[in-house]
Amino acid sequence: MATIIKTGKPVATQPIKSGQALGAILAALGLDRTIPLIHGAQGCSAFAKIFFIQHFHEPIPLQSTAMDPITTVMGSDDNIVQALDTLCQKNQPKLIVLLSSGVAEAQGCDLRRALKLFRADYPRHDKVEIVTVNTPDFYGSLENGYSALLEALVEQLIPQQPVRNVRKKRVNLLLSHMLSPGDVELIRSYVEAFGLQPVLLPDLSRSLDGHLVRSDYLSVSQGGTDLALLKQMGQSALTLVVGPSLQRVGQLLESRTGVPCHYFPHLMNLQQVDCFIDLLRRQADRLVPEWIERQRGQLLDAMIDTHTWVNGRRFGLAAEADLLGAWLGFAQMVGLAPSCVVAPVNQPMLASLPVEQVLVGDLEDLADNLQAQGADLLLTNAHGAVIAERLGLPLLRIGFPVFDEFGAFRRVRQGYAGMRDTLFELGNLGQAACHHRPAYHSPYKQPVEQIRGRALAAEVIG
Amino acid sequence: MKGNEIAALLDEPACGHNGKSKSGCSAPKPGATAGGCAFDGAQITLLPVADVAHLVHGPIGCTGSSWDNRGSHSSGPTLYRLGFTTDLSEQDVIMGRGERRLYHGIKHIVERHQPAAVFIYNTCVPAMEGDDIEAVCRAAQAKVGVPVIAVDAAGFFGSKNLGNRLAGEVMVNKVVGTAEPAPWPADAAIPAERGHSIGLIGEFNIAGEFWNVQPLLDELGVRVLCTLSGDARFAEIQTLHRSELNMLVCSRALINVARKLEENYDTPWFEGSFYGIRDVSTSLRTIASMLHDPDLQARTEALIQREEAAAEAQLAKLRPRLAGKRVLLYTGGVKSWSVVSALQDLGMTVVATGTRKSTEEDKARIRALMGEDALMLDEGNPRTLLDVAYQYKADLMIAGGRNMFTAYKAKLPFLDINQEREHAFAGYNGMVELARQICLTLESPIWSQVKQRAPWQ
Repeated sequence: MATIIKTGKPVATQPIKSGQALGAILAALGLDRTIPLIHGAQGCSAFAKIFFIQHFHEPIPLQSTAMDPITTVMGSDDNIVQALDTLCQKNQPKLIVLLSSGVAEAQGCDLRRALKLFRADYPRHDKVEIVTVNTPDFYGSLENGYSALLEALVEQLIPQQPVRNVRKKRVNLLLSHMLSPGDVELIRSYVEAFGLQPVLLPDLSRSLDGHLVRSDYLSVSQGGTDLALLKQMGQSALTLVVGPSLQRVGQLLESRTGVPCHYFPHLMNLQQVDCFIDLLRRQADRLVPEWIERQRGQLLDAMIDTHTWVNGRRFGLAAEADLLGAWLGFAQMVGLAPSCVVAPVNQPMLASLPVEQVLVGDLEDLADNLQAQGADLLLTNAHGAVIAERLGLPLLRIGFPVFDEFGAFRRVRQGYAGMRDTLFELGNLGQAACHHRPAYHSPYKQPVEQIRGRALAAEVIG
Repeated sequence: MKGNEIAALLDEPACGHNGKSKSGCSAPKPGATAGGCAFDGAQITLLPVADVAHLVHGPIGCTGSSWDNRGSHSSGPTLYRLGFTTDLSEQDVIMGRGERRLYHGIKHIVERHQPAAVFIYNTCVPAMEGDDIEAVCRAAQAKVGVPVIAVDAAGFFGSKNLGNRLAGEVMVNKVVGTAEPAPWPADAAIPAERGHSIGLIGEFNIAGEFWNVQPLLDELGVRVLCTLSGDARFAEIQTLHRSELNMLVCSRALINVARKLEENYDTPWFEGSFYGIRDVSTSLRTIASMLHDPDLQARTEALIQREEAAAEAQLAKLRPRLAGKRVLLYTGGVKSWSVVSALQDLGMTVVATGTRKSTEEDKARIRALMGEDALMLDEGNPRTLLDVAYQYKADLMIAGGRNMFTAYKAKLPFLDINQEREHAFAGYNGMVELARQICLTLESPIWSQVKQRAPWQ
């Protein structure tokens, strides 16, 4: 049980918070042939675009309604209608995610009303699905926006189902922002290994996994959750939710459709992954495939091989709440000791984290605390590099954004294989720190040049 | 190297193995060998000499798989970490071109790397072919102008232990006594009149651990003239004959060096250890008393008191976490009892200890520490070690790195105490580090998890 401490600083200095809109955009990018449209000034999309381009090293489809001084004052519904029409014509998306910004919400805009106007005016675009979601950046953080979109998708696209028509092999997976495309690939392969058909929401492994496609330009997302499958999620046998922030989405889906839900805070310790695999095994009524058993054995071996380099090492951690939960769960498994934990905003799950206190603050707060309490390791996004350098600590990059490392966007951390490789990485960081033990220079060590050698050649050989 | 020279080396009067049933170093048994060959032993004895180019004369097998894999640290030059080898090819062997390659190899190394000296290690193939490496060394030295010294210890000569001695012998015969020490530093805290110079034999500065001890000696004004061979320089070895006292650190392997230096230069010596608080204090006390300096003795006592108190303050926190834990110790020689006493000091129970390289004297000390029924393991194959660990319900195995994965596969906590380790265990700080490392492995939360089966198993 953690005490939540708010730093009460009047400013954020090195923020780790990113606005809700970013979360909704991220989730939207995991839906097939989708383009997110942010209702706000054009900077709202430009900043977000750069954020994700730098992280994923991919072009990012994203548009704005380009609010200007007049529409900001007089009402901007026309901008929305115009933008939707343009996108439908130019980009041919299957789905547009219309999300709001701080300025739009403050103005009092009603996305749904604007959408109704659009539908009335442009019946020829009826085939394009449009989902609205409220994501003002003056509330919450990336995590809230991400789950808000998932809730909106469930409410607006998945029909209520009084009587269930169950597809026994189909399993829904609601996946948190903390899962990289690599993590998602692994989770999918777990489910498929049992002969089950996963429906992933969202599915970043099919859109932002960093692979080259044949077409040279796509103005919408390149893959992700199939819309038809998404609409059928009410028919699945089971929903597996990974990430505390998606608990409400799971409950919403269950109450609308009756699909039973199982919740996993993360797949970053042995116990959770064991439960996950066991659940799949019971659902499929099949033996656990050999390759999964093998990877589990590899994880156990890695736990032993690295344990003296990992156990007792203190770390500073700053990330979105789901990611805090995952890393603290992992830390408990291997004996990493949290020295200071920082969250961007308060979330209901923070209080239940297995740590004494969680600071709601920024990287500056993290650095100040670590300076006082000491640490061996830093876990933050790429912005932590500055404080890592100042404190002389190794940095393991997690969360968003990581703009200064190749491959970080798809690094696997969850599941047996992800934990195995993460342990190796941590072990290496520990060993590298040990190799840097400074040499001692004795004041009495003989200066070699002052040693008076007697006739080298003859005597040495003798 | 001639047969009678090898036999002379095997017969080491100062060694406890030399009496009774065993005479000197026993020959390796085909099909049941453990540990390296004479070449290996010679190389590891001298490799830490940091400003020397260590050139292995032979095909790639001898050094290709072993260069730069020891944990000796240097405070200066890093030349010793390069893996020079003549890398003899099939054609070289057939055509007898080994000597020429060696000669040109030495020239190349001196031009490119400017070493303080070049040590040439002979290996099986050129030794069998009959390469005259002494002659090559003489010719090369005349050409390049730096000492070129042959260490003729081919692998088939015998065990690693023999190689240690051979290498030590070469240093005594060819290097020690060829230079005079540097003057006492003028700005030293302890002036020359009150200072002393000593030598350390068999101290390899693994993981930089001697740097836990050297500051204490410096504080006392005891200058380490030379260590054989951790963080050593070639020129320092040349001055070793001027040491007032030699300490043989935790090792029988170089006992011949200590004895020869006593024979040649009347330098007294003693055998001591820097492992465990009691032993560090004893070694410091012995140094002070053998130097016959009452002032030094008084200062040493004060220092010991201070350091023991500081270490104890840190150990107090760790002690309750270690009390009653059962250890299976498998290491050799002096460590078989010096580490026992160190572990007992921490409140741990040693259920068995390895005695593969221990003398009768060592064994007597073990009995004194562990009781008459002390379980001593002469042979430590993995099966035996694990069976003993299970039978005696050991919580922890402490042994050399090669046994690490024996323990790990059996899901048994483990601490590496031999040369390849990463942590410095010597000195007072080292003891605290040892206790901390034991806690780290024992208290890791992973053990209960790796022992548990998956829910479906």
